[in-house]
Amino acid sequence: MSTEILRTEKLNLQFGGVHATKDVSIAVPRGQIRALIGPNGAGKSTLFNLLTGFLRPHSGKIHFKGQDVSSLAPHQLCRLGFARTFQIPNVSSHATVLENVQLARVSLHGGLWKLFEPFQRMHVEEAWDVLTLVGLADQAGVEARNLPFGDQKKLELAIALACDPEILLLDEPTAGMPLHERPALIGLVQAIVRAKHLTTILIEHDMDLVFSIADWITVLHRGAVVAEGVPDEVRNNTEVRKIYLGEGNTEKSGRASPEAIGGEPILTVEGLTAGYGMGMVLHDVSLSVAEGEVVCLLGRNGAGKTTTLKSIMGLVPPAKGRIVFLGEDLVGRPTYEICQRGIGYVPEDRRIFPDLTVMENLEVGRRQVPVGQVATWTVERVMDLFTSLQPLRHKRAKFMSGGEQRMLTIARALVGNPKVLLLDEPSEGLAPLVVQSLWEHIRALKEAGLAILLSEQNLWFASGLSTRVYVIDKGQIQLSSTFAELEASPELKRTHLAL
Amino acid sequence: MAFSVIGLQLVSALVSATFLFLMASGLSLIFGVCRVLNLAHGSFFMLGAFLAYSVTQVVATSLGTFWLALLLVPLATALLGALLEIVLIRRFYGANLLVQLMPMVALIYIISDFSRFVWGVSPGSVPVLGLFGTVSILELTFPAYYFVVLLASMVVAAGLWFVITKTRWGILVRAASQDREMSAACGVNQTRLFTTVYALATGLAGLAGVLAVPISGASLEMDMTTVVNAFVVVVVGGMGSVLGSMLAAILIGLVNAFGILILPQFEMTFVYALMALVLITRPTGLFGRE
Repeated sequence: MSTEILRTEKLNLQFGGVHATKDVSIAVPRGQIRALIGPNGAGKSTLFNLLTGFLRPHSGKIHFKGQDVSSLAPHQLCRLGFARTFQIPNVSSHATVLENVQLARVSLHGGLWKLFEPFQRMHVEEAWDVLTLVGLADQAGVEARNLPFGDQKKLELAIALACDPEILLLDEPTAGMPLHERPALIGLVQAIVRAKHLTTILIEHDMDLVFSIADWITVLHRGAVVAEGVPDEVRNNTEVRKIYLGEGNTEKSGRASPEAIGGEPILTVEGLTAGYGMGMVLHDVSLSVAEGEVVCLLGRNGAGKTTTLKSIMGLVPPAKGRIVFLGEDLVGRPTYEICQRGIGYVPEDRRIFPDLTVMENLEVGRRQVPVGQVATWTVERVMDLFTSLQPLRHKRAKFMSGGEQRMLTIARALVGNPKVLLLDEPSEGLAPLVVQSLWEHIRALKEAGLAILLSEQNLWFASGLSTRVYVIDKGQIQLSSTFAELEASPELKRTHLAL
Repeated sequence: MAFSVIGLQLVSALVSATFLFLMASGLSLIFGVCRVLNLAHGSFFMLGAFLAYSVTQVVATSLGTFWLALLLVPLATALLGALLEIVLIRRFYGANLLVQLMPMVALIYIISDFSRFVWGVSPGSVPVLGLFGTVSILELTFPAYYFVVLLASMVVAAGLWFVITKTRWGILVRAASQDREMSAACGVNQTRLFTTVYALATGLAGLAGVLAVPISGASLEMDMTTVVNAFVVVVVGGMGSVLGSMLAAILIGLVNAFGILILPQFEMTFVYALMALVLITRPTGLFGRE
C-alpha cells in the first residue's frame, strides 16, 4: 500500500498569461483513491492532461514507478498502464458496446494488423468479463450511440478497464448524469478499483461522492495545490472552505420564495412539438412567462429543456404549435429577428466566441434600443454587475475559466437589452462557489425586473429565484405549479423529480 | 546569379504577391464567413481588368483616367458581387460542397462568355506603365508603377487589418466565422453581413484586376490562372486568416519567381510542392484554426 506509483515534481504549464498548473508536486501510493477537487478553472483537467500525455509541462517531471514519463505520448503511457476517461464520453458511437471494448484490447495487445482474423473473435472473452464487471453485459450488442448517457459513462469506464491499467484517471465520472444515478456509479467504481487494487485519480464536483470514495484529497486553486489530506482534514481546512466550498454558503439562507406574479404573459408557448430530423423531442409543450417573472423549467438531462429553449430561439424549427412573444407569433421567423425583438439566449454549452476578447464578445451581443427608450443594460452597467469580468476585458474568451465564460454568456445576452432571458442550465458543471455567485447575479437580474425562463436540473438553484415551475420529462410538461407548492410537497417531488 | 536578376525577380515576386494577396484575402474571408468556395473569384479579377481597359479606352489613356478606373472599377465589381450574392449564391449556403460548385462554375462560364462578347478574344492593354516613369535603386531600374502597386497593397492590407480587428463590422464577421448559429442568436443579421462580405471580397478582386492590367493586360485566361494560384495561397496561409494570406502570398510569389529562374520547365511544381509540404506538416495551413 505504501509503495509510491506516481509522483510529480513541480509541474508547471502556462496558457497565454494563465498559470494553469503551478508547481504541482503530488505523490500517489499504489492502490490509493485520490480525488482532485477545486473550483472551475482550478487546473484539474489540465493536470489530468499533463499526467496522461495530452499536454507537455513547461517544466517539472512526472515519475511512474520510478521511471521518468514526462515526455511520453498518450499511447505510450497507455501501454505503461495509464487509462483515463473524459468528462464527455469518448466512445465509438457506431460500434457496439462489445466492439468498443474489444477495440481497446486489440489496440493494446496488437492485432490491428491481423487483417484476416475475424474481429468478432478477438479478445472477446476478456471483453465480456469487463462488461460483466461494469454491468453492461446485457447491452453488449447495442450501438454505443443508442446507450443512455449514464451507460455511455459506464462503457467508457469499461474501455479504460479493458486496457489493464495500473492507474485509472477518471475525469468527472458522474458529470451530466441524473443526480439519483450518480452514487450507484461511484459505488461501482469504488468496488471495482478496490477489488483490482487499482490506483485511481478522479476529478469530481459532487462533494458527497468525493468524501465517500476518496482515501486522500488534493485541493487545487488557480493551478496550485493549496491543501492535501484525508477527507476529514480537507473538509475542516479553513482555507479550503473559503475558496472551494464557499464559506457561509448555507445553501438556502435568505432565500425566501418570491411571490407569484400574476402579470400578463409576455412569452407564451402553445402546443409546441419540435425535434431534429424525423425524431420529435418535444410533444405539445405549453408554458408562459409574465413580465418580471422568473419561471423554472425543471427536468433531468435529455428531458427536453434545451430543445424547448432552442425552439423559442428558432434554432430548432417547431413542427407544430405557436410561440407568442408580445402578441406576435415567432414561429418561422429567423433567429436574429427573434433576438432583436427582445429574447436573450444563454446556451447551456456557453458558446462564447473563443477567439474574440471579452469586450468583442459583448460587442456582438450589444444592440441599440429603439429611439425614445433608454438602454437598461449598457456594457458599463453589465461590467459593474459582473465584476469578475472587469480585469479580463481584453482577454480572449477561450483562455477564461468555465465560470468566467458562463458569466460572459449572460453578460453578452444582457447587453442586447432583452425583455426575456432564456437561461439554459446556468449552474451545470460549475463548482459550488461559482454556482453561488451565479445565483446571486441572477437574483440581481430578477430584482432589476428582467423576466427569465430558467432551465435547471436542480430545484435548489431555482429556490429564491422562481415563482413558478414547469417540470418537463420525456419532452412533455408533467407538472405546472408554483415553486412554493412543489417545494413543500414531498410527494410531488418524489413523483416528478425522483428525489 | 547576377545581382540585377535577383533584384528584378525579387521586386516582380513582390508585385505578383500583391495580386495574390488581394485575391486570397477575399477568398479566405468569404470562405471563413459564408462557408462557400468562391470559385468565380478569378472572374471578378478579370472583369476588373477589362473594365479598367474600357474606362481608359473610352475616355483617354492617361494617368488621370487610370486613377479614375482605380476608384470606380472596384466599386462596380463590389456591386456586382453583392448583387450575385443576393440573387444566386445565398441560395447555396449550407448546401453540399459539390452542389455549391455548380453555380460557381456557371458563373465562371457566364462571365467568361460575356467578356468574350463585349471585349473580344484579343487581349486588351492599358499602356500606362511608361507614364509612371522609372525608379533607380542600387543601379537597377524598375518601373515606378511597381512601387505604386506595392504601396497600394500595403494600404489595403493595413485597412483590412483595421476593419477586421477594430470595427464593429469586423467583430461581427469574426464572430460569424467562429459560431454562426450563436451570432444569429445574439441578433446579428447574417444575411446582410454575408452580402457585405461578398461585396468587400469581390471589390478587392476588382481592385487587383485594375492594378494588374498595366502590367499584364486584360485577357480571357486570367480568371482561371489567378483563382487557382489564389486558392493555393489560401490553403497555404490557412482558411480564414488574412495575415496567413499575406505571408503565403509573399512566399508563393517568391517561390514562383525564383523557381522559374532555376528550373523554368518546372514552373508550377515548386508552388504545389510547397503546398504539399505545408499540408503535410500543418494541415490547417500556416495560420489556420482547427
